[in-house]
Amino acid sequence: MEMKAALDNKSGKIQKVLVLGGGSAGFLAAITLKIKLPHLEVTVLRSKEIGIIGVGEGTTNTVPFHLHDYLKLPPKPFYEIAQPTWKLGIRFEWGTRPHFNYVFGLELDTRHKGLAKGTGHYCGDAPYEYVGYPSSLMTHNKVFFRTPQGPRLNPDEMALHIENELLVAWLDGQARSCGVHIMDDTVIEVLQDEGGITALKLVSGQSATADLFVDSSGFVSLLLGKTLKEPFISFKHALFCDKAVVGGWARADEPIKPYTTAETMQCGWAWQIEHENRINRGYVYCSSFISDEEAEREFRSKNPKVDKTRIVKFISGCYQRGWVKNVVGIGNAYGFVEPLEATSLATICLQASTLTETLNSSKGMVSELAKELYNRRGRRAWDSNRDFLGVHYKFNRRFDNPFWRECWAKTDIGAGQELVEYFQENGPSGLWRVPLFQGEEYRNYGMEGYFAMLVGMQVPYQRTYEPEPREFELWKKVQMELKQAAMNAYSVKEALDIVRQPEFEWPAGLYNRPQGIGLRR
Amino acid sequence: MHIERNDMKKVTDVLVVGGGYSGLLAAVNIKAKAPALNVQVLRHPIVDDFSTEILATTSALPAHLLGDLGVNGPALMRGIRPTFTLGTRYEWGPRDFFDWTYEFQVDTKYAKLSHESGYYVGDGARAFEAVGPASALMSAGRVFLRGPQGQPQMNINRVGYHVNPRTLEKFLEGLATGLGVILRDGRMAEAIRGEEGLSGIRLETGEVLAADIFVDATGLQSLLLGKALGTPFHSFAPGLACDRAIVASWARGDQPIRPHSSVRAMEAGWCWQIDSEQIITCGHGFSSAHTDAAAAEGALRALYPKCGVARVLSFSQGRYEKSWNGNVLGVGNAAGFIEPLASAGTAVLAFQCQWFAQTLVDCDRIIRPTLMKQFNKRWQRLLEGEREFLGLFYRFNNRTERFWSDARERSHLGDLDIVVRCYEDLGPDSVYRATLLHELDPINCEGYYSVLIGQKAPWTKRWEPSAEELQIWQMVQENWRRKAAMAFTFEEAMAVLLGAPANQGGGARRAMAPVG
Repeated sequence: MEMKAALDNKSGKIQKVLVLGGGSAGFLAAITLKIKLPHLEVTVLRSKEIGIIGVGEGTTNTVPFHLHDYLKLPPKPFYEIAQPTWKLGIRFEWGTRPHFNYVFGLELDTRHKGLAKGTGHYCGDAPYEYVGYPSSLMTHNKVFFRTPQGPRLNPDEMALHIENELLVAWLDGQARSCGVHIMDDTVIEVLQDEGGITALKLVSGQSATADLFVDSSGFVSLLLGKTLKEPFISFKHALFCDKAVVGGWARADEPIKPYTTAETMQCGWAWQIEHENRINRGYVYCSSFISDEEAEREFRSKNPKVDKTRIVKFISGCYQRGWVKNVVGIGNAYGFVEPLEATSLATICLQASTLTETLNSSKGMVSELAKELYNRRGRRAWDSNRDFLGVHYKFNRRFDNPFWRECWAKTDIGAGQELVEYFQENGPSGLWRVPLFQGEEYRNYGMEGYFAMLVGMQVPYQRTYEPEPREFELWKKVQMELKQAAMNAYSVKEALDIVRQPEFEWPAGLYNRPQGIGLRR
Repeated sequence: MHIERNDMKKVTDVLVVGGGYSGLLAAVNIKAKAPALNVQVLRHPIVDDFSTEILATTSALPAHLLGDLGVNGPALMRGIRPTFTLGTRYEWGPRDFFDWTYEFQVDTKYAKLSHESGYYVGDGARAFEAVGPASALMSAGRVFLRGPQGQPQMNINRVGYHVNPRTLEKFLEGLATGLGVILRDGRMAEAIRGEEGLSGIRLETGEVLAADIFVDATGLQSLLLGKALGTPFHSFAPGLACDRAIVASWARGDQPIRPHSSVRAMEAGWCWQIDSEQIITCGHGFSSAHTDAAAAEGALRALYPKCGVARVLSFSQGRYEKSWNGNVLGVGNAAGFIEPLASAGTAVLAFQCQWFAQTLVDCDRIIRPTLMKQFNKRWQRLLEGEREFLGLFYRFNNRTERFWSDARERSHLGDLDIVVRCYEDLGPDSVYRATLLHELDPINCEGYYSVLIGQKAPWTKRWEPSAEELQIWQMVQENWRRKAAMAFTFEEAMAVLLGAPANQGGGARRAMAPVG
């Protein structure tokens, strides 16, 4: 490529961006930068030799907002090409209850009219299937309520299940149409000086240069980790699992569930992700407590239909900084946590939009301070993921065995400790959510997320509330209404048929979110 | 499954010591939200407090009274006869003046402009004037814009009051007795220590008043929280060096009522002017290490020749380690005090009263340590935030006197340091707001950037609007000026606000306000 570009650019202004990696992280970063900052020259360098690791995954509800609100990409073609299904939440087979629902909308951290306390207080020891809209739908394997106008779509409650190959195919198309260059080549050597990366030498004999390198090379972390040698912060004091056995099968007549399942296993947990034509499972385990063979056996005994399996090794943690010199790590090249809350794609979107906003406000000339802030924000997001996942392990009393005892005793939940202490005294009271949740990264889970897990796992608390009979009747009535509406709702299959009709239009403004705190006139 | 500790007692009796507006507001909040409690106010005389003839609030107090407590608007207007303040106009730094208002002005982006408004004010020659509706109204001497039906556009979250504290107390007494709060006169002789703090208050008559919770509303003396419990005090000196104030007033006569507070930097401190219907009050806060009372009074009289007899107030700026310690809740000045440069006092007070009452309701009157911890944490951040905000005024001042060079050097920015560094890099940009500021930071980028731009604090990443954008910006300003010129004067607005339907009983709403 043009070797001189970096040298010619004496202003120090970032004009050329090279994204290393053609997976979902690389493409998401590239289209985000190019769509929001069209004056940038953005190139994705992908290697045909490196396959895509992921098979399919779940998202949180923030990913569609990134695509359809922040990037203004229309849902219709996205649904046509990427073919996602919907995920209203996670069914946790976890803790002492048979299961409980973790949803993306607000349920436990709300208050129903006429009830004295927040909804979480009415979810004591009895099973709770009907706490709000999404959990009621999940209970009945339905995805959208039926209204005279068609399905009731609430983007806050809708995350996705998406097959990686289809997602990348859609991203590839978006990248091309917005003007991202795509180069197929492989890096053989990375050149650097004190300012950072100077060039990538490629198999073809060419070199690639840029003002800014986005490292989306996955676990390898070729630029951020391998080349710049940024220290890696391990999360092994909080998250003990380090391997997964992954497999799946072609869907036969199993109904498409509108949620991900997270099932407690002897030495970890297993996901079940619902694609339209395939069911994708994986058992995340801790190799110091179970061998690969035993894990495979346990996994297969629960999932007799699994065809071939493979084992993935991983290390939970993140690099100390995501932006070092002229390299920004995005995705697994920056850090990784197991997909217990399906945060991977959401984290990529957050990193890509924060990078974009930083470049924009810095007028392309990024100060060390701006990088420091980017890194601070990135690190907070990683830590909040780690702490929240830690809570999942520390209080799961489903199985009593050496692995789980180790989790109960040794999981460090960091800043989550203060929240848990608050809960153990006050129960699901949202009163002090403001000082308990400082920083917007924590808002991704918020009180709702913590309540869902702590109430769900039946973590004991001191302050109990006994509803009066009148309240109890009212609460029963609320639940009955939810049940009625849920029984009558659309299944995933029905909803897919509707959105695929050529005349179906996604409601305009569905994904428009009010922006910022300051007024926009 | 759940653990209930049986040794925890339900709060039933609350005793408020101090019958000033702080104590009364606490009593009203508690009784309104937890009517089952016995709430008594002991009107122990408050001495040596920071007391002025007219109190300036931010928008937090009206929002609290009308919003959280649900006080009837016209009844409040009749009861306390406030004048309205849209913010403060500062004659401070290199500009003729700048404003900090309760509107979003510099931290607003107009759809037709590429940057936030702060960039168009800039740190150069353009004036800090008609930046938004509040600034334009302040220059026009008018209070509220005219709405589409000709009504005054008053948003309770965007306007503060100038109010006589005695009148406010009368009104709050009415609310309190209406709710069933017992008011009694008496003088405290001694606070009796108990296991969790205090067990009772002995009056000079020998009678002992017991309670589960004691609210300390004794002003700067802090008789319960400070004196009786010995809660450690954290001073805000020397970053905030003022420790004395000279205060005075004069009859307004036909002087127009300014719809804002006014502040002016002086040789060894700063002066304020606060307007009300009857009188205009003024004051001069100063540092006794840098000047003396006589010199300060001279400076005050030179600025306000009409002012009458002057009084000297002395104070320490700082806060107690906790506002809620054991079974004692300190409210207002009894828990912490900051000079009124940004009129923070009643905002902190409203927070304390509202959130303490809310906590009592939420926990079904059984108080557990994590609730106190979160209350204190939030209150500390609030007060430290106000302290850091004032730090900006001192850090970026451009005066040469020793008071000011000391103030610059000693100014404390704390958590704001990073906000300032960002501003110095990018200018008044909102990109890092979510990373840097707490979601509910009451001052927010609007306040910080107003004060930084106001003092022409420069930034590195220069950006100058094009001639075309500048023209659009001037049209924006012209539009606000035009609207402000036709806006309501104080007298017109008050006539409308008083004329609204009569109050039904005038009581505070008993229902609990929505949590959060």
